[in-house]
Amino acid sequence: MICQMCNKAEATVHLTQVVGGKSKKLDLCSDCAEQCGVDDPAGFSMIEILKKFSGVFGPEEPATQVAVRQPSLRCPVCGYTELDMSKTGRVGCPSCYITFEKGLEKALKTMHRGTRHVGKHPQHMPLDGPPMPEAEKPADADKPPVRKRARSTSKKKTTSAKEAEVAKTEQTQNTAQEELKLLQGLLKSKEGVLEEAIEVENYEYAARIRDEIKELKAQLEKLSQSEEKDK
Amino acid sequence: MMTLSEFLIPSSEYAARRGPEDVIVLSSRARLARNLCDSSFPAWAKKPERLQILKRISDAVVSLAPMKSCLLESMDNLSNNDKLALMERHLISREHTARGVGSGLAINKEENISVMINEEDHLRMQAILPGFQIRKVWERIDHLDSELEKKIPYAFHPEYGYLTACPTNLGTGIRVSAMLHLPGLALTDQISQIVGAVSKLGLAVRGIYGEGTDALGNLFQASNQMTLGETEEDIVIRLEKVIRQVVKNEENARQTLLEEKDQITLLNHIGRAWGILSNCYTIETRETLNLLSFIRLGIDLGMFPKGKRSDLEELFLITQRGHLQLAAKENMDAPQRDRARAEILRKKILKLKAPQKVKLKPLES
Repeated sequence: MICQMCNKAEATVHLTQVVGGKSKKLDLCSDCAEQCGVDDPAGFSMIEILKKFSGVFGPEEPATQVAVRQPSLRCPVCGYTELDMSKTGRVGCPSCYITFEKGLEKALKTMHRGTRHVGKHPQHMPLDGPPMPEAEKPADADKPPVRKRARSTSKKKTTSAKEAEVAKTEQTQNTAQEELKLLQGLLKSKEGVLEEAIEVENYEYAARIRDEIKELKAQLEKLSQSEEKDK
Repeated sequence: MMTLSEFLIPSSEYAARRGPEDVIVLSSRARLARNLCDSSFPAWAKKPERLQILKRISDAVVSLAPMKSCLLESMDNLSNNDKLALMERHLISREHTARGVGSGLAINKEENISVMINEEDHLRMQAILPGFQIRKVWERIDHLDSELEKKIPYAFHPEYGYLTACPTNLGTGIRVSAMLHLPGLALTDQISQIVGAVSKLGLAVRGIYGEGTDALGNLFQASNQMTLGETEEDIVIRLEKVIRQVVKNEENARQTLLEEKDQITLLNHIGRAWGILSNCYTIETRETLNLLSFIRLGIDLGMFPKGKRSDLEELFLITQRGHLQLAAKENMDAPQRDRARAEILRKKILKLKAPQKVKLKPLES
């Protein structure tokens, strides 16, 4: 067997790593193995090696998952192109997430549990997010956004996520619609967590999640009712 | 100026640190990825910009209370051996060892908080503690992060959360992990089954397999894979639960091995490991890690009455390349290192005396 990295020496190191439920195999010679840090059980990441020659492993790698829609698309803030992104699997600057939003969204879905952040929010934000590609905001943003941390209960999460959502885009007119979408997203991710909790027989945690889901569903119900009234 | 060797806690002291349930869970780590809102990510930023970022973040980091009297160093001021030793102590990533000008590092005195500046992201901060302390490491790094956000403007998007250079870290930017020592599961052929089950739960298990059989040193690192769409709390809880389950399985496997007739599997593996290590004159890292794993198991089970876990952990550390060369104060080629490694191991392991059968008793946890 020939080393997959240098394609010269005899492969003596055979690796298998389970990534996201799929096992991946890699055969290296001892020199290449040492270069990759295979001897270090902590620092070694097969994903990093796989990224180096994603050709061998085909389109499963996040790097190639990023869909190239318009090869000419370029971030106006940092100059990174969509082609750069599809080559490296990384973006150039914070604003790239807005520039390449469309192409990234698909990739995010396959990478993560959801596409919406529900974790910690910074409470101190000197600037209101990264500079927007369309119209750059002045450094002294009119008001320091006060954002609460969203963590302990699902109720809190939705309120602060909603606040954040409002802060994000001025053109967001239909906030109720947005909130509905957000709640549905949350519900979906919670249901995933619940399934898992049951799978690992962690019933205590499952019960907690179940209650959170109940609460979410009630909120959703209320929201869709009030929306119908508006119509 | 203080050199890195002078700053670092002596290996013997470092190895003597204990934590809850550290028989199986060797260490717990939590790291957060953060970026400045107004700069390109390190791989895309030009050198002057990286230097400017380094300065800004360094100033903010050293002003924090938990980082009082920390070591702050630019990566180009560190030798290769310094970097290797830091990596062997899990204070920097392998990726960061390759960095030079424009990247930096801050470590607190206790060596349980480290901040990498201009790694893949502008900021990678981590807390590490011995034993099973996932919640604690998350709380610690959460606190540091909350302090730091008062000083520097983070790149944060209301929908995508903390923005990172790689979309795989987007959202919470958190990676919590635990280093697990699972020789019992390996010896009872359950390891691939367990690894498979864990990875189905959205966790990554990193282990190195030699031709589909044993993992290197029976060491596995379990960590969350996804960072967007769930809270830090959910991630921490899930990892905790899964690890608790794996620990239980490992304990059962060890018990099964102890109850086996004449403890033949255990004595055979641990005895052979002892025999080789106490008589070797040249030995590679891979073999060392694999054999030391069995010695560690023997100590855990009481097969070496004279063996202390801290001595074993020290051996584990000082036989690795960076520590070996830092201690020797010179660079060695591979055969020289293999000889130096064997020298250290032979003497220490010989003192343990051959492993003995143990009387059956319920496992201490």
